[in-house]
Amino acid sequence: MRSDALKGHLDGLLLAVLADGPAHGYAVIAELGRRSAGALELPEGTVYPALHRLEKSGWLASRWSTDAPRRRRVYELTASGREALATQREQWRGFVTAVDAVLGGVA
Amino acid sequence: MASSIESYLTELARALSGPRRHRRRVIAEARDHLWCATEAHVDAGAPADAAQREAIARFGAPREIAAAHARRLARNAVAVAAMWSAVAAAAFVGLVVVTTQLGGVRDGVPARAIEGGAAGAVGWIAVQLVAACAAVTVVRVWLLRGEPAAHAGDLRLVQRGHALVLATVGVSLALDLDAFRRMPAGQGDGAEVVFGLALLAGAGWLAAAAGVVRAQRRVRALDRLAPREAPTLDIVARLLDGVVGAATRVASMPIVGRLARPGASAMVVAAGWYANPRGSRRGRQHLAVVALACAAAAGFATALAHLVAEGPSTHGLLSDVVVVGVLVAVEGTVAIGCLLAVAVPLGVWRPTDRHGRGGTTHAGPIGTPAGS
Repeated sequence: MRSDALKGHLDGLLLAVLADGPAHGYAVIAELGRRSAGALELPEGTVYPALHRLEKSGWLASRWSTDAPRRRRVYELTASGREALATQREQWRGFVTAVDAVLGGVA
Repeated sequence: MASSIESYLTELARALSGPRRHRRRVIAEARDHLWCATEAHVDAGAPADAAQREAIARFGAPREIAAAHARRLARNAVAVAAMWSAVAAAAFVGLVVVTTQLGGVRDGVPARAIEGGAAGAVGWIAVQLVAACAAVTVVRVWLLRGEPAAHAGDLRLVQRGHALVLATVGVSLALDLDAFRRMPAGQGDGAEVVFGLALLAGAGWLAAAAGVVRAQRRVRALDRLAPREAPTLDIVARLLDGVVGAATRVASMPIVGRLARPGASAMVVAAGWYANPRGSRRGRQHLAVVALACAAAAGFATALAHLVAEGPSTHGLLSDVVVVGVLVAVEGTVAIGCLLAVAVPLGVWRPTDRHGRGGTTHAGPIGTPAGS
């Protein structure tokens, strides 16, 4: 899947990955690739501005990790981030249901 | 010999912009990411050099990464500058009103501040435009709170509103400064001090507004790397820029004077709501209400200033109420006229569309039968 197809969904994907617990940038991206079986393609470096945006909006919090071999920033979901994730999940399910009803199930 | 990763980070550091603390954080995160990725590739059996090259390739080109970070910083700069401009605008408008009242109640002063500068024709236009611009700015920034992916178009109206008002306020301040220099000193009522503070606040607003325009232009320049807006919307928006710009220049002429004030306010509001790139149905439905509220507030403020300056009417309270009503009605009528002249031909607003259907840039839900 190309990166432009991900626009509008990247924030929700990042929030969903971080819902399982705190993680640093590489771990978030690796988990994103694992869950999508490598289907989501985007320059990995562009994920960091998205993480910074989410932090700026209060959906994520971050701190420097003290037990890493290098300087490492760890991100975690905030309470408002969990609410935002729940909203995005709900919107996504509604969208999928509507599109699936038109296209017909692929299963 | 420097590793490929460190060479890449050096190139990325050169491409990054923004505060030093931010750049150091970006580089630190990139370094950690690239070494983590390299270790993963090595664990999968790749040679060390190839693993580094693969990690760098997946991370992205330095210029692309730097542009993505710059877009976020620039958007933040627009929001911060916009809020400062709103604060300065509130101070400017408030102090000009105080200046007006001081000038109005003072006896023995040959020329009130209201006549000499800040509240003259151009001055009042500037005050109203600044107030309308600040209101639109505050509303837009408030609506965009908590939306981390705001596109340049979402903040476009903030830039346009400020760009429209900048020239008018510049002229107004130049006239005010001249009036300030001609004011008699030592009157002891503080009028000149307040007038001076109003000028300072106005100058502060100019600086903040210039910051808004500059930051927003940077956002737009960066977003051109990854455009997403419909081109037709941009074409109409540019056309509207020209129309509103010309109308504002006409409204700034002293000869237009009084009738131009509510019209200019209405057009700034109309331009602001039109610039909503997501086609907010609610925003368009409320377009007329916002314009009317601005006009009513302008009429009420004018009437209040008139009453304070001239004192209560000798014909009793009813006469004063009639004066206020007439001024509000005049300003509201002119605002509606300007709104219809600008908004309707461009399809921004349809007076008969009470249910919010239609509109030139907003599509209804898929599958909704026409006319249902």
